[in-house]
Amino acid sequence: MTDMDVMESTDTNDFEEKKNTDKDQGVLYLGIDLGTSRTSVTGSNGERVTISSWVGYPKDVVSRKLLQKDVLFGDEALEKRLSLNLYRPLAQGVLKYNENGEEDYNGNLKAAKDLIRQAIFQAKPRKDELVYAVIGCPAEASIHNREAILEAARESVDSVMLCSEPFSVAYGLDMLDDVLVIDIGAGTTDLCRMHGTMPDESDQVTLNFAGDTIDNKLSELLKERYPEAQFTTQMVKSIKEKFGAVGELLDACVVDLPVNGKPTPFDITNEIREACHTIVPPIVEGLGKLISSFDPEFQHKLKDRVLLAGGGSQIKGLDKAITAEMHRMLGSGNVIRTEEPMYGGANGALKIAHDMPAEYWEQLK
Amino acid sequence: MFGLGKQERDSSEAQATAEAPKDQTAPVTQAGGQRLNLVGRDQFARAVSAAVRHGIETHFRGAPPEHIEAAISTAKSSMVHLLRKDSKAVRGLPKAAFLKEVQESKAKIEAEREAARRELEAMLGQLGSRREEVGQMKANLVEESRITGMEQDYELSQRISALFDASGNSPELEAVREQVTALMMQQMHAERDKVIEAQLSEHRREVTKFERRISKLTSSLELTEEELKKIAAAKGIDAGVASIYRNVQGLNAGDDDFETKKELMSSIFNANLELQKGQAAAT
Repeated sequence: MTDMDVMESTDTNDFEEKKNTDKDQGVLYLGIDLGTSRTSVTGSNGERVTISSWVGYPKDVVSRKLLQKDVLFGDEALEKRLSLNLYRPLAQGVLKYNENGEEDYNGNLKAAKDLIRQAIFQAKPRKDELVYAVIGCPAEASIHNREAILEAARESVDSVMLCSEPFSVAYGLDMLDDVLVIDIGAGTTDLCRMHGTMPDESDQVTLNFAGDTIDNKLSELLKERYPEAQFTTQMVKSIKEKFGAVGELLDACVVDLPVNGKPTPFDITNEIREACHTIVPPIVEGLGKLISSFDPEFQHKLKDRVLLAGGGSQIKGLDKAITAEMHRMLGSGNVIRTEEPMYGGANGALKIAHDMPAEYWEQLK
Repeated sequence: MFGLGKQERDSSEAQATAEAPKDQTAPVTQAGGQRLNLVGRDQFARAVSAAVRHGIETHFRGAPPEHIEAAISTAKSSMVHLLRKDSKAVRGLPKAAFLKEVQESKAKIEAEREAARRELEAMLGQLGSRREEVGQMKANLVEESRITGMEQDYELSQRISALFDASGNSPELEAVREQVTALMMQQMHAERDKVIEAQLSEHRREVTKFERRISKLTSSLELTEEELKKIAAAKGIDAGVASIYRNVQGLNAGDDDFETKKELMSSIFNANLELQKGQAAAT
């Protein structure tokens, strides 16, 4: 037996098997993180892309003629918003919907479908490949919302599954045991306790303190302290994404905001710090709940492995701030930041898609 | 997933064809390979690690563990680099089918454009002749009205004169007769114009309808042109990027957490199956 024989462990003739599938070339796995603010997708073809979760439709025939498009996405939609009916279909990470069908449910559902279709299109699938996707959704998304996301996705892929976002982050990093995941999105922050089995409801907490909370708080503080400054939510969001930080070692943050039409510099260092810090106490409180309801013998292990993921985790100093708050409220703690905050959820979902047995995909087709 | 032809297994080329589509595997089988065996990337990486470790421990007994680990790490990263580099050759190969499809859709749009253009030309011709017809009709009606109008005007003035003559002649009555005649003529001319206008309006409506249809057809042609431009610009369109997997994967039996992951996959599947059943029941 040569060294290379070690590699030949599979006897299945895959090219024979391939004939039995309804498409004859390849399987494309996609991991999708469908978020309030951004939608990220990674594929087994090496493609990865993030688009902002805005979807816009021309308001009338004139706009349609001007824009030359039936639907616009992301930053382009935002830029042309005056000519568009604009949707951000996933409020707090799930489809805007209530039992009475309010909040233009049908419009949001259509926008979600188009957004998923666009995300998949951006992953450059080939027409001759089967497309199997796993979509990460918030841990506490209602059955209604899960069904709606499935309905939205089913039109664009051959088979689709949902899984909890924080779980997919942990799975992607092979951290399946004794770890707490914090996944900070725009609409929600998901906390999840991993202990070697599938996390159930008691292992997961969804908080409504996330990126949007920071934006709102920052807007509020700026209005209060600099009433003459003019700004929009979108401007505040951009400022946060550029300068977002907590802690004492923060560099001065000076931004130009218009006052009576004239760009005027404002030092908003303290406001940024205060706004970004608003999510820290509720997160640590949520972690405390998950830790205190865990086996006391293993609680210290959980506290020592807290994984910080999601777009919101890019706030400078957030890991240290949460660690410090954990020490203050829970006695100890160690927060580790993921390397790829934007793609952590999508990468994990991709790994789940890869590891899912063929018969499971077939049954869900 | 990576595949190795039995007779090609020692060549780096065979490693690089791991994810090749059917046509690329042909040389392997033609060269005498009976079968193409496939292994997962993780398993491949582990095998490389094991092979490097085995080689070092056999030939360099007593080598420090950190040196062994460093050699394994270098071998693994080199392997991944080489495979990624070579796997690019697989991407986008069967582009011909995609381009054929683009060509077909272009031909279809061109045919639609041609039909629309012909229709537009025919309508523009009809519109021209309609406009001419309306113009001619108006001229005829005006002329007709002028001729018959002169007779009617004369007859009316005669009748009015006869009425006034019967009432006797006086300078006051003469002035009244002139005023009455002028008023009656004015009224009659207005009525006559109304009749002409009514006769023309039906034809004008038809012309307007034509004009509307033409404008619609023109904008549709513009859109078609736009589509064609897009297709022309799309000559370099990527047919998509091929997945590195030729078939459905699943968990690797050699995975360290195989049992745990198997259970997790099963849980995710069951939750989704339940969700799907619930959806089906609801519909």
